[in-house]
Amino acid sequence: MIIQTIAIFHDAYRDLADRKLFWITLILSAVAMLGFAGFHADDQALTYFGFKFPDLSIPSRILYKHFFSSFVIGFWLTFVSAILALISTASIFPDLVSGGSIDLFLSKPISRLRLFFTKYLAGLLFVFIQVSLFITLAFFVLGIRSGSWKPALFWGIPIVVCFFSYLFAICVFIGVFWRSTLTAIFLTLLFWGICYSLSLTELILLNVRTDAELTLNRLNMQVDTYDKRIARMQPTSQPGQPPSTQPEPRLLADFKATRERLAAEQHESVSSVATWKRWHGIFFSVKSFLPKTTETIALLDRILVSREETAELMPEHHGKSTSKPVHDEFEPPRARPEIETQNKLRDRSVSWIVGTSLLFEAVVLSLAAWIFQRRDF
Amino acid sequence: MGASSLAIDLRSVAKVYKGRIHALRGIDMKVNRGEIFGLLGPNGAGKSTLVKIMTTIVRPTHAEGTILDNPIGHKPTLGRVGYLPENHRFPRYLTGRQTIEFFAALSNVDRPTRKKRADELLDLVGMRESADRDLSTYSKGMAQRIGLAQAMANDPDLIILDEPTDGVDPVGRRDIRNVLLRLRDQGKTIFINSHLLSELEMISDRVAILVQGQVARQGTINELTITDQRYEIEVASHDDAAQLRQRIIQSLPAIFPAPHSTMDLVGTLAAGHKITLRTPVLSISTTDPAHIQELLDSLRRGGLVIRRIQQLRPSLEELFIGTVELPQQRPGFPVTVPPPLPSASIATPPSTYSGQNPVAPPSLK
Repeated sequence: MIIQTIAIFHDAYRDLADRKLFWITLILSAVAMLGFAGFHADDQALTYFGFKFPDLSIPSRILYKHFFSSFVIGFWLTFVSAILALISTASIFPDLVSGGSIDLFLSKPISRLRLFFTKYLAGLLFVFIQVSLFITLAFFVLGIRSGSWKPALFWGIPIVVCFFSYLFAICVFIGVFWRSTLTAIFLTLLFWGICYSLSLTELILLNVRTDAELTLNRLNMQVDTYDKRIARMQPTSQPGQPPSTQPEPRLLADFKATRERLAAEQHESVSSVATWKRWHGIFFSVKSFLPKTTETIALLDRILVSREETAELMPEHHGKSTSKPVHDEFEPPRARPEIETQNKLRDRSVSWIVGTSLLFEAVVLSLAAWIFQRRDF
Repeated sequence: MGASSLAIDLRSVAKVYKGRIHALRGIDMKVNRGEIFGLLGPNGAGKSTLVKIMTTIVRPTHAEGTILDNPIGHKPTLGRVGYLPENHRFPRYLTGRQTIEFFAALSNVDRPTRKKRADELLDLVGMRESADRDLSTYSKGMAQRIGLAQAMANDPDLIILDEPTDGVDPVGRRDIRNVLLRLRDQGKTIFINSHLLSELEMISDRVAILVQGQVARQGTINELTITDQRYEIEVASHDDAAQLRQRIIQSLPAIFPAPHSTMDLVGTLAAGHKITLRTPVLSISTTDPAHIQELLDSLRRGGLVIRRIQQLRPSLEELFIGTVELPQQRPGFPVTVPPPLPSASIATPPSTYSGQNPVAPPSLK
């Protein structure tokens, strides 16, 4: 059993090493990483091959991490590298199930299910090798150029492999079902696009919903404040009260009018919150059943960039405005919905993000394995 | 429990595709251990389906019986089976040696054993020189030799070969035949599915002919042709054909009593055996030499010279065509039959293969 498994993995490596795309991806990754190595961050400034970035009122080390997170992780590993990996590995199952090839495998003393899952894992070998080399390089570049030695970076390997496994499961299912590499690549990219769009829509709706909820909270506080003030300003009938404490009728009327306006806004806001909550709930529910590609990759952000550092990158935090907003009891401070949204996203548990995604992957793989097990070749 | 004398014992093997296409209609087939068994049949007869069922590539609709004493579909048994599929596609990035070692590993052969075995097999199939070249640089014949080697990589008890000489040149075919005969001598059972009837005829101990998903005939070639075996007597003369024909008829008045004008004369011996004259050859439907002695005497008494006496049986090709054409003659049994091959009923010198076989020629085995 071990002999067979090692043989299949060894064969998968030979197969990958024989593909030009494997080496092209590897070289491109190295070039991208070396390009990133041009950045240098210290306490004073962020430079790129000696060119000093203008002062953006963001600490240079945080900006450096942000570049790393958004370019290296977000763009290269999640997008370019993943597409190249998909193109490289998409043919594994269509090739396996093609006539003349599958006969050689199935006629050996290895069960179909074991063959299927071993081949599946062997397919992930491509991404594992690529990401491992890339992350190792990134670890040294990050450490040498910014002085930030982060062993946690190596979490990127399981995270990216996990993220890719969602897509690869779809690719395998299509490959087994249609036996066509091109169809597998096209439909997997389409599926990925759908997942991404759904995730983006859910994020926008969450942002809008959070904004609406924050507005409602603020209105609640304001109405409450006005209610208390109005209650204190009501004329008392108690004998012996000094006239100076009696409210001015005009001020009281203004307060009441404002309170009514706020109450109307509050009423509208309740309705708005309910609407956004409902729409967000729908998208969130749908998303719950699908793999969370964006959020899985964002897990690495959680490890590399803290909440506070994320908040510092928000536009409002490092705006150029010199005048500080003045708050009083009638105008409570406005919370920033972007930060709240980011916090909500970060509050989503790893087990939910990865667990539900892996559950989806398990279902898709089971279906593909069932077809593979039942089919006459 | 001791091993059965049967390597393959199939009973009622049936396969229906999509609920309506009956590829196999209940196959019963027995293959003895240590023999070379040939599977024949026209296109669409179900040969490949049967082979694929035996190797678990296709799941049977119904199957009973055993392969190497284990039920059909028993995966661990495949560790003792070697298989070379038709139109195989080996990974192009492997070398010949790596191919043998890889498929040996899939059969659970440990590393030292498969290294040693790969060397032996490369020698056996004559591929030692090209062993470390990529398969993508191989000719079809070379790939076929490597395919044969990988089928033997696990030192199997049963070797199933689907068109093993496909794309191989005549010298290569002879080499492969010799390898198979050596394997048989070592006690291996070899099951061959091939369209090359002449190849099968040379090495098969027994054959089965599949027609429309059923075993139409099964047995040794001798058993299957016993009823069609015959003696041929060729008469020599300086006369022209018409005169010779007349002299033969005159020499055998009891057999050909009346004057005839047709080319082929048909008569009957005293023992009831059919005799046909196609000048200058007399063909007698019998396997008993005693039945032709009186005939020979009569010819000699008529002043005729006997050039050749030969016991013949139909070739495998004739047997095959005769078998696949039979269903066509049955009402309600439509069958697509390949166009008949040129008749080979005219005897030729025994040293030359022409579609008709002298009985049990020692040079063929």
